[in-house]
Amino acid sequence: MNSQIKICDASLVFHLYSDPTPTLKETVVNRVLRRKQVNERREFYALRDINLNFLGGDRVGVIGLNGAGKSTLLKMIVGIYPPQSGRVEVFGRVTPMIEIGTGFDVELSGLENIYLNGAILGYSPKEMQQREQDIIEFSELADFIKMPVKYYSTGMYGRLAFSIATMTEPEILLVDEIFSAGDAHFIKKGTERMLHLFKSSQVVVFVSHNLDQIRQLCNRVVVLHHGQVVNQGDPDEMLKFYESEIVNTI
Amino acid sequence: MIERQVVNVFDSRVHDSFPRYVAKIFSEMWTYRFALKNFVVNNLRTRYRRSALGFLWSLLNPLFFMIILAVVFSTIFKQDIRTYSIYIFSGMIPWLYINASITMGCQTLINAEGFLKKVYIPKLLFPVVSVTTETVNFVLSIVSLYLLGLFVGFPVKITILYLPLVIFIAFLFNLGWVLIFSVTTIFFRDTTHLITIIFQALFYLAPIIYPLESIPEQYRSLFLFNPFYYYIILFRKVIYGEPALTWIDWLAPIGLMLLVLTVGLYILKRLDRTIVYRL
Repeated sequence: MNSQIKICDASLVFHLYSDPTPTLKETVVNRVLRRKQVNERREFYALRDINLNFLGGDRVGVIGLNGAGKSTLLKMIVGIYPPQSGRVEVFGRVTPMIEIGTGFDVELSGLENIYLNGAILGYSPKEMQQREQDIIEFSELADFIKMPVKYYSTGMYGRLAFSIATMTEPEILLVDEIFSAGDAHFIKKGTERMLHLFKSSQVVVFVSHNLDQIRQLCNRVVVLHHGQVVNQGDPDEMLKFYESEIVNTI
Repeated sequence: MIERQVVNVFDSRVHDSFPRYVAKIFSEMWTYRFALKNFVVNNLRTRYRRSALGFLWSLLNPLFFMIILAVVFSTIFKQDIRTYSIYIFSGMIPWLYINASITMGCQTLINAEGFLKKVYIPKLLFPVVSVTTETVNFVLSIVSLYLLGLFVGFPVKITILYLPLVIFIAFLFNLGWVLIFSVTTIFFRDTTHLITIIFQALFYLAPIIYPLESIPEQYRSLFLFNPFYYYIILFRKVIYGEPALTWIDWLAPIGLMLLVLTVGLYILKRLDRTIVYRL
């Protein structure tokens, strides 16, 4: 099956409430008295009229300033944020590497967290069992794998999260800025692992501020600015465009 | 790895029909059954972690609670401890189950913010986890109720065979309420507090600590407005065995369950795509 991500006129609006938790009383009283709702809300387009089509073989780099909507774009593709207008079609199994380590229970052991994390991502224990050895080996946690995660150092925690997240054969790979964790040795190993995933996946969407990585790994670049796609195409051209038109104009 | 063909379409204008939506979210539950199991086990484990008796506490807690109440009540009301205590608890324990399920369930989606904003995970999972956790606790309380019954010499009634079915109906009934209130709580955070108060009032509108017959005739119809009343009656008839269980006792609980669950699922469908933006 050919993997593809097709986004048509998709917009995503966040309503920023001056008071995010209105009370029932306020709302009722204001309605009854025909008062304007005090709770002002401001609309904020996180993504606006996005049209993109990623096909098999695309290694797409997404660049933009902080708050341009890069991570939100990935979250929209996964289905965390459904588009409020427009359409998103995703063909192929998605492996998100966004916020890895979500749902770790620090009271549980590393081993139990492998299964818990897998379950949260929708994998069965059987599927996780096949990966268990690889994950333990790759994370180099050895006997620590049986200890509660709360006794782990930050590096160990990151290594486990990274190992769980990367022990897949994705069709579509979404990566948000995570390249690896831990010490120099693990970073080298992790980078190799990521490069392997980049090669073996059909479609990769890679969000990063590291423009060198983008240049090395991507064959296509999308420039986001204030939630809109301002330009897309060849990496070298786009990186030049980004530096001259966006970074240098702030 | 198992190869799966996956196509996901998110279209702001296309909405599934209600039956299709329901079929979809329940089949997602099947995909996420291991997450469900993990969450429930963790919830139960956290409660008694590091205590010497561990999981045994979930049996001992209700048991001691009941023994203390039984002694107090039978001393005050000078009733026969044997039948009176079982009578009370066959109503009170189901009540506590419904009460805990719903009041704890209100916060369940709000507490899941960390998940809902970071990974794709079905929203239905969290209400189901919450109600399942309470149901497991309830089953353990029932076990300790029968232990108490054994202790005071109360015979086990044949109607106990209906218990799994009643628990199943109550589970879906509670799930319906939790869906309604956990979604409402996102939009009006006061909901939880209101629910707690309402439940305190409803406690006295159900024949839990006194028999219905002790209420003056003209007020009895008030009880019929308490949707939980019918469940207390059904549970009591099944556990206590008196008065005799008839098929009529099933009508209101099943009807209410279908109604509440449908409303809950409908609310979830209507607001499914909005929830993550309001957390």
